[in-house]
Amino acid sequence: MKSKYKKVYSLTHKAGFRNYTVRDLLDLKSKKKLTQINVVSPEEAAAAEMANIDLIITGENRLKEIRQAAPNTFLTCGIKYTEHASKESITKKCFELIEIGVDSIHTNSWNLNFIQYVSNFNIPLQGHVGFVPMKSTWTGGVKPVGKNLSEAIKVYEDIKVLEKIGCWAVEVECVPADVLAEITKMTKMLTISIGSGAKGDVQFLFAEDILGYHLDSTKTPRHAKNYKNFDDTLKSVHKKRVDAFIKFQSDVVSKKFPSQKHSVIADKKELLKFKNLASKFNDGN
Amino acid sequence: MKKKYKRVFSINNDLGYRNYTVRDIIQLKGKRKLTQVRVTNAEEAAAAEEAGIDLLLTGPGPEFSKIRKAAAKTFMTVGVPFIENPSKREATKKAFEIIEAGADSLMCQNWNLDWMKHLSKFRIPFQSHVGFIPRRTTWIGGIRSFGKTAKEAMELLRDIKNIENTGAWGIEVELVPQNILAEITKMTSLVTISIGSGNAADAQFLFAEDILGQSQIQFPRHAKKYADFEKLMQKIQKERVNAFKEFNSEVRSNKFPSKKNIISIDKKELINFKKFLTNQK
Repeated sequence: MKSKYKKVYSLTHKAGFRNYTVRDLLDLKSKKKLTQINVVSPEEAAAAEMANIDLIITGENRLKEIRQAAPNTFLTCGIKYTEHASKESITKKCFELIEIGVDSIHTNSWNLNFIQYVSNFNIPLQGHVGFVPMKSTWTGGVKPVGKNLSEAIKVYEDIKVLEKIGCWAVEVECVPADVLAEITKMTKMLTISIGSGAKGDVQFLFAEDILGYHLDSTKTPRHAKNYKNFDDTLKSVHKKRVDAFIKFQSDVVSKKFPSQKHSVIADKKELLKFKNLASKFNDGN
Repeated sequence: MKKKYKRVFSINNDLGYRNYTVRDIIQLKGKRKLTQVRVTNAEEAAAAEEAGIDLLLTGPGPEFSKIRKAAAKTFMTVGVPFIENPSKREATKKAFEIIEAGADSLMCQNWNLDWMKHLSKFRIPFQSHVGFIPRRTTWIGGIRSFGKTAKEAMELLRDIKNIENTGAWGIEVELVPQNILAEITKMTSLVTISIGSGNAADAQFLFAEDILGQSQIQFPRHAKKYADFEKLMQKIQKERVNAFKEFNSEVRSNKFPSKKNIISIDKKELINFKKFLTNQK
């Protein structure tokens, strides 16, 4: 039987099994719609792998646990770029992440010279264009990018720069669907759409939006879709925790817990002997 | 009506509200049974506070600041690891750090008695641990109860008295016979905190993971499950998987994203953009 996963070496020469290599992904461009999910916990990562999500992406926070929870899914990791003021420093960080087992690095707001420098090591990189949250002051705040000719050209040019550097993919955020449809045909990179319509090579969403967190706030963006209501789920879990603790508390106060079966008893003779010795005990104070 | 929380300064000089001060806890000895729960995350801490658990215990890890925020009003004791702090000075420094982060009391498990005496001079409240102590099992011959003979019980009494003399306020007593701890509780000014040592102690202590039924280890005989979180978490994980599967299949079948999820562009602008792209080829 053919295994679902293929054996691959990571850049650090560790053997492992993955659903895709970078080359597979490039070969699938315009042949198969792929999915990518941003996960923040090992639970989400494990669920994504079990659901056959093609790609997962995460930050540095719980990377090791996440890699372990979804060992066979192509994993991209973002870097806190403000912690790296030089290309050597950011390269060192990339090596660390690669060592943990990531398959690709997300470069969302990096200096282009840094991206080029890391790319020279043949580390697979994903870029980010359109609405980039950390750069949104340059595009006028939280709003779509590319709704007129000059903005659309800028998106195209940004993508071409990343392509030339050697990125394998680019996240395209909040760009008009028709614009991304055209650009996707003009680049070798895989386009990863979030809020940029159905024509990207990959559809990307955050696990928290898919699961439906923060539904009472305005946090779910227009382009996302809630498939569940985890706010309610978590509320009910919280209530179950509280109930368990309340039962424990009332069991203790009413002396129902601990009972004999939870306790150890000393032999009567030993107890009497102890009482006798203890009555003469002097700790010297 | 008595107010549930009292206004207190913590040792780091933060003004806040707490269910108890250390003085309250000491004064309740022999008057009221207290509960203590060991929590490892903010969710457990918040639930424990809401349930009215009297005391919380946790570690100094990265979760601590979230745990403190989640249960801001519950008397909280935090462990100070001795392995990474192999001198009186380092241990005290670490203790200060933890106090600064908002602990009401410290857990000096396995500490050298001299260090505890030293810490006490700073008037920092701490509790310690006797009986079966996981890291010291080699001294008692493995995982077993301690104090079943008069000789062992005397050893225990001596340990407790020594700790009392360092200035501790409380003592976790683990896997000690119920009737022995009943006697010792009367003989010490320390608040005795029983785990597997019967119901005569001043406080009852359990791990949240045992209460909730999601223990990482074999379930200890002395603990009690009040919920089946292992099953519940499996159910929730299934919900996650189903949500992701649905997303996956909607993308493949072009159901997502739909019109309402996308951004449009003016027709004229699009035509101009296409013209621009044609010239790029």
